[in-house]
Amino acid sequence: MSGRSALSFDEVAAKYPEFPRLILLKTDLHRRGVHYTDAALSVCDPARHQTGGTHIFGTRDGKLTQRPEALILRDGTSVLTTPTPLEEDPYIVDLADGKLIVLDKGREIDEVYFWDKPDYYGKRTSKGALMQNVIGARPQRLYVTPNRFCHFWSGKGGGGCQFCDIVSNLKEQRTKIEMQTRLDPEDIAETVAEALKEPGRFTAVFLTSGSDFRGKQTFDREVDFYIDALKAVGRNFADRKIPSQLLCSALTKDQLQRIYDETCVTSVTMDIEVLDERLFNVICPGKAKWVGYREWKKRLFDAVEVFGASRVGTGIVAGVELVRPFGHETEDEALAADLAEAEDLAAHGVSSVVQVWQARAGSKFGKGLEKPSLEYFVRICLGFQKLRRKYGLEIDFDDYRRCGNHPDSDLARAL
Amino acid sequence: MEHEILTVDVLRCLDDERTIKIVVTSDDDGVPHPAVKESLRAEEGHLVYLDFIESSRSNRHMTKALWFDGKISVLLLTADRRSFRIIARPLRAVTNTKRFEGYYREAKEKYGLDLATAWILQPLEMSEGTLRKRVGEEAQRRAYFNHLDRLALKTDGAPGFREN
Repeated sequence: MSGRSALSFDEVAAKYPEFPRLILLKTDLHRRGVHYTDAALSVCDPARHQTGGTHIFGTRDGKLTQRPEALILRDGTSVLTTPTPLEEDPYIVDLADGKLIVLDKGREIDEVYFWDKPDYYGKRTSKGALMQNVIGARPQRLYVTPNRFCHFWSGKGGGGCQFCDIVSNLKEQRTKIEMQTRLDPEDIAETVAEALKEPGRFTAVFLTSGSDFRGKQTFDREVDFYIDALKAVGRNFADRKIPSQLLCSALTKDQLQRIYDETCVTSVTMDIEVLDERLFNVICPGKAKWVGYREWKKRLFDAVEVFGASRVGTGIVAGVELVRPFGHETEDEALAADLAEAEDLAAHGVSSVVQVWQARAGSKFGKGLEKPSLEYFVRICLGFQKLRRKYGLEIDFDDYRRCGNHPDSDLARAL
Repeated sequence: MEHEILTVDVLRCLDDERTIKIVVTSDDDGVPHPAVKESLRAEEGHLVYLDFIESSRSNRHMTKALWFDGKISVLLLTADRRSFRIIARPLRAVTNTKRFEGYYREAKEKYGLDLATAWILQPLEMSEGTLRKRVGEEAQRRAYFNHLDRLALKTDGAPGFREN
């Protein structure tokens, strides 16, 4: 289709030699998805490897089964995988000579590894909760979700983000894997304590929830959940502040100050999702109703006054800005809009990070929509990382190791 | 193949705590960055060392070498003044998994430090750089690279002061 790059993986690699091939692979694994062969699945040992199911979002094929949650590449980069139907042309993860490899149309691309699951998985808290349902794990990060329900999807919510499947995924998780909607702070404290027994496993704590606009002030209820959960986390540490990230709705400066003052958290991310006011209103109607695009940006700027520069971020679901019929006409147009807004944010101390849009089965932007090109993602990732360098922003709290879900911030470890 | 590069002499040298082990990476301008890496050793035909500082120049350079098919070099200097140079390429950065945990325990127990990355390097070439050995090789292979006074007869008719 016009307006979209048609370059292949190798052509993109040749055109952008400054973009690491392994990060290019990760980006395309996100973009196109993966399919695990039976041979690959045969070496995934649920007793040793981390299998899917506890992640806040679902998969492209809509199945909640014990498949590998993710892959690790040779450079330590992690790739959260969304198993994808074969007819959608995903990469294939297969087994060859005892090694796990990624294949594209029969060609071997690189060796990959499964994640080891943490030791606390499979254990239960004193109240009986499965610890992996209390806190999920990335390779080096604890992932706490005190409240999985997003109220934008409720009657008064205004509508959930169109690319998001958090609520449909939760419904399935509740019936199939004992997933709780809300967490008990005691369960959180106990699970963190158990996780910390594993030497060298974790480098950061991450907290997020579905949006909850209820309360005296909009989002006060959400703030209360975070404070309770973060206090429970903090009970396990000697230092008052720890490497951590809160991903929340666009809270006011007063709300953020309260969280900062009362808890161990050291960085905040408030995902604006799409860097264009018109598209924000269409794609994120709940966020538009309760905050609005301009106010969202203002609150990001305010957050820098509370947490400091290089401690505030915002994520975009890169690619949704091109969804037809309302999206940008061309990738060039979309890129120009993204980079202009990201620069305004960076100039105010806010880092933008890319999450590659994956059309999940349980979202409104599900099957049948055209994917942006790989080249588009490369250009936006390079653009965001260049902005960080231009404005002297570090992204340590959301980099390849603390998070691992943003190909642009993966670049920060060396570029 | 890697086993042939890491000869018995080199393996012995890597095992010896008295050996000084230097890993040399380079920045975008080609400026070398040498750093002593006490933890460097051989494991299953590969070289392995522990980087304790995530933001170190070595760690960044090594990442770029892995990303862009670059090479690094290693210099080993033994207690008896022998030296070996190894060219290698970064094969894998171990930053997580149970394998990382093993290295992490070592970093904590042996060095009292946190661990950023365990680097797995594939040796590509090895050469001995011990001065006496290199001088001998030079004299044998490159006969023109000598000053004549070194070849001249001494006044007592004895051969000159060639060192080979």
